[in-house]
Amino acid sequence: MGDQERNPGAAAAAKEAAVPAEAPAAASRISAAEVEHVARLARLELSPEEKVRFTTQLNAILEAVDKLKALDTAQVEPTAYAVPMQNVFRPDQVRPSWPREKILQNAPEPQDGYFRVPRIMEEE
Amino acid sequence: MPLEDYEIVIGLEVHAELLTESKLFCGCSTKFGAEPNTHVCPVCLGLPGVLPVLNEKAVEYAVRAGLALNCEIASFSKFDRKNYFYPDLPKAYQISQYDLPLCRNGWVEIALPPADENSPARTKRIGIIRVHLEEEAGKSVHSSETIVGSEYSLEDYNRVGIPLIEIVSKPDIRSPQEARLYAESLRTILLYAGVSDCKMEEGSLRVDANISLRPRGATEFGTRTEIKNINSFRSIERALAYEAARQAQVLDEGGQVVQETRAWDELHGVTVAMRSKEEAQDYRYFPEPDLVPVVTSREWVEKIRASLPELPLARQERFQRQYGLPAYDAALLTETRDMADFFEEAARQWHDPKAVANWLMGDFTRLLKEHGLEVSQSRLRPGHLVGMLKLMEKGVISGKIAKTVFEEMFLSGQDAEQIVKDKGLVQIADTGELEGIIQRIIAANPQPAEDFRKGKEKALGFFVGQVMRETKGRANPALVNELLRKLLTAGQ
Ligand SMILES: [Zn+2]
Repeated sequence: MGDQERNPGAAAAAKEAAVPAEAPAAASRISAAEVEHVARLARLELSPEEKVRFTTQLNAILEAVDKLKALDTAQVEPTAYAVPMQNVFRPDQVRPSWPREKILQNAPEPQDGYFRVPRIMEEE
Repeated sequence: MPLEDYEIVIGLEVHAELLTESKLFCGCSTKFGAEPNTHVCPVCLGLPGVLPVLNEKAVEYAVRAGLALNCEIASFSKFDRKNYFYPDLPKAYQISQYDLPLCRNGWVEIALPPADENSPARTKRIGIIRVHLEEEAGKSVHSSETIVGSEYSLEDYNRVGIPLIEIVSKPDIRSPQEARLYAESLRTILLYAGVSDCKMEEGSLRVDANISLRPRGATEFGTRTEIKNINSFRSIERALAYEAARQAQVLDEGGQVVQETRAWDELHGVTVAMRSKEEAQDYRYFPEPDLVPVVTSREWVEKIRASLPELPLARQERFQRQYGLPAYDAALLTETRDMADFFEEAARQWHDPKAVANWLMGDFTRLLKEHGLEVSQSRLRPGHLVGMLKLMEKGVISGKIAKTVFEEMFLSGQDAEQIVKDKGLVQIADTGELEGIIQRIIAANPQPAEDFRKGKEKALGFFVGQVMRETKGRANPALVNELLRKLLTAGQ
């Protein structure tokens, strides 16, 4: 996949966020369908009531975030990190892994030293 | 319209595992072939409370690869989480790089085969968009032959967290053959740079391809498909040729190419749809909060650049210039750094580089393949070859015997002189001894002798063969020819 097309969701979200601040406050910034989509990506099953509740809550959060736009950030460097640190490295040295029994301790269905997982793809 | 009327547009995404001893974010070993789930720790599994710490060597190797691929190295780079659910990814996210990769804007020059023997070799530059660092996923063993037919799968997380680079090319590739040549060039360059062992069969090098067609002359790209599961260099060409033909047929029938991921099925020689567009991945990248950014200094980058060896294409051109080798020989000998070093060490000690090249491309390569060895594992070293060439030049051994001596040197690691002495392989250059043998053979074969006297030149070949067999190849061929002519006609 090309880099540009890699993240269609992010592009859509960016477009959404670009809605001018003057937009009517009542307008939904995130639709019920988008909430369903995000829930599916996160493997969450939501009841109809939860969908309504989360859509309302997420819109409230987005509105709160919109308030930050009132600030003039022209002179502020974009930042992804809160701590002013960089280049935290470890040397390339092998250290003992964990015993396999411990690694598999929480596996619901260990088999022959592997994690056994249910069917990955449904037959068409 | 025929496939020739379409322009094929291809871009490759190549993943290569880096040669670090330990994983990207923890101290677990990266060694291949261990018992399942024995190179795993809580960091690998993403258990609550763990923190990844970046392996400095992996960053160095990624920068090294970027420099070898003519990239700009970012002074500021960061890691991001790529979120998706798949059983081979225990954390449910992969630590990768999204908008600020370590390396950008590179290129690789590939050597295209000349149109015919007399045309000059052509090269083409394939652009590289980016090279970024990320972690490897685990390995799934399916309960039946195909993933779709499998009731369950078994997960081995030994590979999880091994450092990978992903190299994304520009859509500059215009044929399945160019795609293979590009992938092979990448492999050679990464091997020279010493950052990956690039073994496609062990999965340490993987190639995914994006391919689309457009009518020749069109400027807009057609709809592309992504081809996965390509498991050899040969398959790159086969899979893309198949897919180009398939797309051409879809378009010719008035249909539309569906943007989708397709898997190459090596056994049946076809590509099959994997996931359709509505399932298109939405990875929701965000900055990895457990890691801090990487800032590279100019000095560090320049130090790494200075430590890079002469790269394959440059070396290939120098071999042609300095040793007068044909382009074909130069390309073959520079495929690996070890072979190129071997050649140069021998060629430096011998006045005929082409002879050295012939032995290396012929018998040496064949023997390595037969015994499953790499150049570095060979007991036969450049000095052995030079010693043997000296014996040939002095006329001590014939070219035919040399083949035996070469194989013996390869197997035992002894030098040529010792082998010739021990096995009594010295060439018979004694006229008297050879005359005796030849007379006996002529006497035993009156008919061919008669044929030769009647002017049938071919009969001479028969006698040469007989003499060589009798002397186990130890006779000097020029002398045999001379004596045969003399003795066959002597009776007349
Ligand atoms: Zn680990």
